[in-house]
Amino acid sequence: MKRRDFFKKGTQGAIGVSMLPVLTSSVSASAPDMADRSADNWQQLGSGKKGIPTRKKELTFDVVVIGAGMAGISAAVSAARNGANTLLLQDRPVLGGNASSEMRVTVNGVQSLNGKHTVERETGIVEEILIENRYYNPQESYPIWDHVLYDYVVRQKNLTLMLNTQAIDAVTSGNKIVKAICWQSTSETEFVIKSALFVDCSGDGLLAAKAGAEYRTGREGKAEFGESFAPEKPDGWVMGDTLMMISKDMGEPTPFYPPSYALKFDAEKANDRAVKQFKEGFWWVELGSEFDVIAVRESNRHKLMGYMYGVWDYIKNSGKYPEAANTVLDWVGSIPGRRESRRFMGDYILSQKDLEEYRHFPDSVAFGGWSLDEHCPGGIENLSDPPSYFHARFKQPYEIPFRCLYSKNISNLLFAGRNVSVSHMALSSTRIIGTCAMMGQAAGTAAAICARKNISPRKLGTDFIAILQEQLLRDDVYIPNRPAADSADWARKASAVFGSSTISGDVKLLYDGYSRDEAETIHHWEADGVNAELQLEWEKPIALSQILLKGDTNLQRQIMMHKNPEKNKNQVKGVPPELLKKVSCEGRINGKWVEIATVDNNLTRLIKLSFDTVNVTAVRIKLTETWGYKNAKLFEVRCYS
Amino acid sequence: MIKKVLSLFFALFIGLLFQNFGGTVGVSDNVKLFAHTLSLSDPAKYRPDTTVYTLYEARGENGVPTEYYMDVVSVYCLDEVCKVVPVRLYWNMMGDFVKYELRNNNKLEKADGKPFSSKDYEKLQTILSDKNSPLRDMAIGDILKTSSTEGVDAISGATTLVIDGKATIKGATLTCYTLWHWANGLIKQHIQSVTGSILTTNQLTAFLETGELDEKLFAIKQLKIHKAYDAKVAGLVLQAMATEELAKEGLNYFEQSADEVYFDAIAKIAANGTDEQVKICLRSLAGSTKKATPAYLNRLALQIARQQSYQMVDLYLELMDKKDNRTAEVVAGTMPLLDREILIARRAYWFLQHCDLSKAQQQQLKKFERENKDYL
Repeated sequence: MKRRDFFKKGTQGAIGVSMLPVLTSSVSASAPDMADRSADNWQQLGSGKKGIPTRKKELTFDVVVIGAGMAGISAAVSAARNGANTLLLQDRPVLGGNASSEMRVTVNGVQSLNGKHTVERETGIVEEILIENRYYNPQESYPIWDHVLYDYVVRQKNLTLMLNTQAIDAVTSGNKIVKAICWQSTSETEFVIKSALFVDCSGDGLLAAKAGAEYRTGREGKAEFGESFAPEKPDGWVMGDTLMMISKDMGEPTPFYPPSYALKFDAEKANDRAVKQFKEGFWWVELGSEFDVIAVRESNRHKLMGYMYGVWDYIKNSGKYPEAANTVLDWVGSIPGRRESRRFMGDYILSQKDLEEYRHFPDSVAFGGWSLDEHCPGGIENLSDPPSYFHARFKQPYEIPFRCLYSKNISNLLFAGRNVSVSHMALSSTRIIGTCAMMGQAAGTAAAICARKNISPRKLGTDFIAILQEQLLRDDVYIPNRPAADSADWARKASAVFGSSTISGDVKLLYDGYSRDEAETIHHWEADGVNAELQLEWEKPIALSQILLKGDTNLQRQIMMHKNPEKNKNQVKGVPPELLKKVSCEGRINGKWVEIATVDNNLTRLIKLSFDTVNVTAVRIKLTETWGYKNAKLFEVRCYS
Repeated sequence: MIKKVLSLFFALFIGLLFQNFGGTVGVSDNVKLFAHTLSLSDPAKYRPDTTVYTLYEARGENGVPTEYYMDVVSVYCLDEVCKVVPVRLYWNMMGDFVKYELRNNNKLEKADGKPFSSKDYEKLQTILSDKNSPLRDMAIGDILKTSSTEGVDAISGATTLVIDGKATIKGATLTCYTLWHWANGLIKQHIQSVTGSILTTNQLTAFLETGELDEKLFAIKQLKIHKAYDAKVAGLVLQAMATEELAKEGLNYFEQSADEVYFDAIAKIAANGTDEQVKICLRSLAGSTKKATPAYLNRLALQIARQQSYQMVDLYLELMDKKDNRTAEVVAGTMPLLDREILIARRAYWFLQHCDLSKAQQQQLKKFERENKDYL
C-alpha cells in the first residue's frame, strides 16, 4: 500500500477524507511505503507456506516522548508516574543519548556557581538515576550505566520503551500532531503512533521539524535580546559536536600508529587547547557548522575521527609528552556528542539577560546555572579563537519558564533538552545534561496533566501553572523562588509537629515549602543521631494513604559518573551517606500506635511511604538508619489522603 | 586560669629542646616537654591508611599542659604539581588551633610556583583559625578538581569548583585544605584526651564553674572518664547543664553513674529544668535499663499536670506507658488534663483508658468521650 493510500484509508476506514480535518504529512505521495512488503518472496519452512511479513503496527498512547537521552527519560518517567500511558522512543540501541556509553558525555549540572553554594544539584528523576548508578554500578562502567538506565525505565508502570526506533515523520491536522510515523530498524517495522501529546526530547527534533514547529539555528545578533556576548550580527554558527575517548595505562611504553584518516594537529596554533587530558578525550576536538549542522553530521563525524586521532598522534609521537608513553586508547566513540542544532520556538525565548539578571518567571519549572560556556564557531578548524569563551559564571541558579518548553505554533508539542526555546547564548548554559533532565521532568509532567485535562500546554501554562509547579515540587523538583503550597498536604495543617531531638534546623522548616537548604537560608531539621522520630498531630482524625519525605543527599556535592574514574576517585563512594536508608511510620488509630509503612534499603531522596488508607490522629515517622551519616536529616514532610 | 599561649621565645626554645633531645622528653626550668605518638590519617589522602605522628606537649610546673605542637606537611604531591613543605602547627590545651610556624627557612608556594606573599601568610593564619570554614565540609575530591587547570565544559566533564575566596588562597587551595584539616580535624580529640588524662578532678571542676562552653563540655566528658561521681562533683555537673548541648553531655555523664545519682539528677532537672533539658532527661529515662521504682515514677508524675506543652505531656505519658506505671497517683495527676486543650486532653484520655479508674473517674472519662467524639 502506498503512503497516499494509507492516509486516505488508514485509521479513518471507509469515511471519506473530505469529511475530516485535513491530515498532512511531509512524506511525498511518490515516496515508497516502508511497510509495504508485498514484493517479499518468503518461504517459511516452519509452516511450509509462502507468506508476507507484517511490518506495520498502529499504537495509541496518551503521551509520546521522542528521544531517550536524560531529558527524554525524565519526561517519559514523569509522564508515566503522573498517570499517562506513555511511550518512550529511542533511535539508538541504548538509553542515555549524549550521556550513554555511545557518547559518554558527563551528566554535569549546576556545579560551578560563584556563590556560597558552588554545587546546586538537580533533584527529581535525574538524581534518582545518579544515585541508582552509584548503587548498581560502583565500578563506573559505561555499558553498565546504559543498563542502569534501562532497568530504571522498563520497571516504570504506564511506560512502554521502544529502542532502535526513530520518529521520522509527523501526521498533522491543523496545528496539531495527530500521529508520529516511526521506523524500528531492528524489526523492519513501521509504527504509526497516535497520541494526544508529543514531547520531542530528541535533540535534533526531526518530528517537531517535520510537523512544522517553528525553529531556529545559528546565533542571534546582539540587538535581538540585548545579549552582550552575542555577535554584532546574527549568523549561522552553532556549537559543534565532539568525539570522546578513554585511554588506559599499559604499564610499559606502547607505540601508536595513526590511522589513514588522521588529520594533523597544529599544536603551535592551538590557542588554549590543553592536551593534558590523556585519559578522557578532548572536548575541544569539535566541529560545528555555519549553515546546517545536521546536514554535515556524517562528514563532520569522519573529520572528527581524523582530528581525534591526529591529536593523539601528536601526544604519542611528537616527543613532547613522554608521560603518555605507556598510555593507549582503550575506547573511542563513533558517534560525536552533540551540543546544538535546532532550537524550537516557544511562547518565550530565554536569553542571556534573563539568566544574568536571575529573572523571576511566574511559570518557572526548572533551573540552570552552568556558566555561559559558548564554544567558538568552527571548533578545531578555528584555532585562532579559544575553544570556549567561558563568558560568565553565575552566582546562583537562574529560572527556566514553562513557556520555553512548548511550541508556539504546534498546539500539542512540547520539548525538553537542548532543542528548547532559548537563544544561542542562553543555550551555552542550559544545554548541560542535568539542566536538560529537569526540563524533561517538567515537560513530561506537563504532558500528563494536559492529557488528563484534555488541554494544550499553552492552556496549562496560562490557566493551571500552579498545578504543574505543585506536582513538580511534590515530585522533588526544586524551583527557585517558588515554594510549595499544596493545599492537599496535611502536614501543613498539623496542630503539633515535634521531633525527638534537634541538632540543627527546626521541624517547622519541614513544611515551609522549600525542600533543600538554599545558599542563604536553611530549610532542614537534623536530629541528634539516628533512631530519630518525627511526630505530627491533628485535632481531628484524618484519612491518610501516603507520607512523603525528602531526605538529605548532600546537594552541594557532585555524584555523577565520569569517563575517567580517576577524577572521581576521591568522591564519597556509593549512596550518599546522609540519605536515610530505613524509615518506618506509625499511625495513631483509635488511640493506639500501629505501624503503617516501612521502607528499607531506600535509594531515593524523595521517600514514599504508601499504605492503605487509615484514619489517624497522629503519625510518628521513625528515621532508623542512614547510609552512614551519624544523624537523621530531613528537608520536607508531606501527608496526603 | 589556664595559660593558652606560650611566648614565641618559649616555643622556639621548646623546638630546640626537641632537636637536642631527639624527640623524647625535654626539660626547661619551668616546662617539661612530652612526646605522644599518634596514628593519624592524612587529610589530603582519600584512603584511610594512617601514619605515625608525634604530638609534643608542653606542660607547665603546675602539671597543666600549656600548649601542643606537631609537624605536618603542607600538601601532598599530586601529578607532580605541588610542593611539599613541613609546617609546625600549635594548639592550646583544648585542642584549638593557635598558630602555624615555618621552620628552617621553609617557604610555602602556590600552584604556579610563586612564593606566598606576606599577606598570604597572614591570610593563612586567618583561614586556619576559622573553625567554621567552608573547607570543613568539602571532600578532598572536590579540592582536587578545584586545583585543576583545565577548562570547564559540559562535554568533557572537566570541572572547576569555586570556593569562597575568603576560605582559600588563590593557587594554594590544596595547601589551605590540608592544613585546615590538620589544624581543626581529629587532632582536637587526641589533644583533649591527653589533657583530660593529665588534669585532676579539681582542675576539671574548675572549668565547670568558670569555663567557656567548650571547656565545660570537655570537663564533663573527662569527669565521666575519671568516674568522678561524688556529691560535690555531681552537683557541679548538674548546675552546669544549662544549655541543651551541656544537658546532653551531662546526661551522658549521669548515665554512667550509680542508679541513685542518675535518678536524683533526673528528678532535680524534671523539677527545675527547662522543657529542652527535661525532654533529654525523659528520653534518657525511657531508654535506660536502670530500674526506676514506682515510687520514683509517681513522684516524677507530679510534674505532668503542670506541663504547658502537648509535647511535654506526651513525653511524660509515653514514659509512664513504657514503664507500665499506671498507678493511682499517676491517674490522679492525669485526670485534670481532660479539661485542657484537645491535644493534651485527648492524650490523657488515651492514657487513662488503660488505667484502673474509680467509678467517678470512669464517668468523667465517658463524659469526655461523649463530648469529644469528633476528635478521637
